[in-house]
Amino acid sequence: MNNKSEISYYPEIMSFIEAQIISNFKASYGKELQVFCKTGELSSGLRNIINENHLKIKDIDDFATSVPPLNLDIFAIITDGNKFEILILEIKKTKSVGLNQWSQLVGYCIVSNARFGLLINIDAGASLRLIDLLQNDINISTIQRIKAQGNNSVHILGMMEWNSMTKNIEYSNLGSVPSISKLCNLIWERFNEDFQS
Amino acid sequence: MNTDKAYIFGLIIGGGVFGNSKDTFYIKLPYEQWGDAAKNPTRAGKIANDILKVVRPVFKSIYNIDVSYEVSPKWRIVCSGDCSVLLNDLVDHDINPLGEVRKNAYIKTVIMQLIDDNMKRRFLAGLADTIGSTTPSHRRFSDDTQILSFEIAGFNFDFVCDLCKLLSSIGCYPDQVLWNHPNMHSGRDAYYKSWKKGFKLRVTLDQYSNFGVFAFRTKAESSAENRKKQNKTNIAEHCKVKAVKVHDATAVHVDENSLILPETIRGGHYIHHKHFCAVLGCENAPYSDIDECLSSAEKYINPFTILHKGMRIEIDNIVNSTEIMKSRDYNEVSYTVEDLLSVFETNSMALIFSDSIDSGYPISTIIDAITYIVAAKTGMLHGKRPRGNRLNLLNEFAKNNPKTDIVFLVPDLLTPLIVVDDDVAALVGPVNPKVYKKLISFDKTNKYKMLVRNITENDLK
Repeated sequence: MNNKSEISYYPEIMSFIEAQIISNFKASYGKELQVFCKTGELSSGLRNIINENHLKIKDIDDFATSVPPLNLDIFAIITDGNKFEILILEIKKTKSVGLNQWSQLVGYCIVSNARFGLLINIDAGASLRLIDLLQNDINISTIQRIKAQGNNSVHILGMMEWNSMTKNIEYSNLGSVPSISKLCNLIWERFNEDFQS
Repeated sequence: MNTDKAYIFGLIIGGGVFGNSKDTFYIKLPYEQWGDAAKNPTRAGKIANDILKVVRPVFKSIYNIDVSYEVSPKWRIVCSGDCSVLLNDLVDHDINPLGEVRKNAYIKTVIMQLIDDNMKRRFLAGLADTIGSTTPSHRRFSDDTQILSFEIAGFNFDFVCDLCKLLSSIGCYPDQVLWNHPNMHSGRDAYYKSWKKGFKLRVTLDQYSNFGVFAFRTKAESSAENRKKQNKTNIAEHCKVKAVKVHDATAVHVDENSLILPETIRGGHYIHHKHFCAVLGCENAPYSDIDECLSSAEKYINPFTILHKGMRIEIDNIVNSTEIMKSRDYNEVSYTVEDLLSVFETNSMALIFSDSIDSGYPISTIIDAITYIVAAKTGMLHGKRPRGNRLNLLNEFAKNNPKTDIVFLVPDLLTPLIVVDDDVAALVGPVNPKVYKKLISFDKTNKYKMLVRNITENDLK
């Protein structure tokens, strides 16, 4: 394992994820999406993205205001101009990620109400225990919450690996987001939920 | 199409082999020496790891197909499970999943679906992981220009042209395309039968590293290792602005009309790798440069072989079965190696055995022929190639055998000269541009396709 810090990989990971999501939406659905990635504090980061890009999306201002302060490795707003989704990337650079790191991602998603989350380990995979859990219990990666107010919230999570040599995401098939193209399908379904129902 | 399918399609178009089964297919990885498990077990282990970490999950996730691999006798990825969705997807993209895909693949439909540079890179990553060779021998002249060579078997010229355009569209301008054609693989020898060595689409590693991608760590590492050998950075130029330089003539090969060549190419004679691009109608071909070269094409063709080396009996057979050579009167003359070296050292461009200034037999090719003869005499041949530097070999021989003559059979017209020895011989074709100009015409439907008719005695008289 090389000595580069975890943070130094953020720009290349962000640019990779951004490019894949934009390509997939354009190719699969003929839709030009906007993907805005940032690192650091979520609430102020969201407000900066909204202001810098003059985003006029329903509920996004309320979301940015109501979300509690949360320091994240990478987060992204993905929007088709009408709706938006938040994707959280929890980046690790460790020999193997385990339940500890997975729990961290789950926690961030619950607190921020982000629907999508990816745990990404740089040049390494997951512990046997986490593999076992993610392979055998879907409830660990698709989490349905009934909030105190009664409304539902769903979090869909996956685990992938960043290959620093090829600058490419490698899939582990662990969790409920097995690939970036599947993640795009899930986001597309979400954007079209009103039409479908 | 999506980014994952683009990568899978790249792998399949690069190495996919389909039989009649809908449950299994293979992806051939032509890793031969580079991936030899006995010679480099570490790399072999890493290749296996790449297959399991990169290929397996993407196939599982997109098509629910299982992936394993075989190392012996050759590297291949084994894909098994219900492949019907994938097969339908391929057919929907005009890829026929039958036999070795890259040999007949029509990739225009797939390419149209690669809607941006990122998607193109995913597709190219699949191709580069399969047929992109990073063997260290792929370099231009020296270690300073390391090459990634896309190695493509078969005679699918359109596929190579489409792939080349795709690479160019993301900034990976090709360094050179070695077309699977006798004029490329056997430019000097009109009779060489083993010219079918496949296509090599060569891109500098610098260019590919900047604009292309690998998904296999082993390929990326190997590419980085090769680039470390360079003392400079190479910047490639777009085909349209890169000057076309034709250095040598090419011999009209006996297989130019072979039915294995596609109709667009068949029957034509080609003087430069970009001449093919023009005939194929590539939008990036440097048409004005090709026009200029073709306007003086007589300097760049030879209706005879330029040099053919072989056993004496084989050369006799060629002469006796070629009317224009058979019916010549040959005058036997002899020169020492020293005499010939002296002519070469005075003027390496000299044409000899002729009374005209612009026709005759090039001394440089004659030096090649006698090097072969001398190497055969002294046990310095490796196949048909003399070992070592030709001038050193000849000087050494001249020093030790000052009185030994080399025998030439000089024809009464400018047909190939025969250099003979006891068991071996060589044919050397003459330069004769004024006459060769009469042989050239161009296809009525494709003005870049040059046709060279057979030469006759009347042409030479």
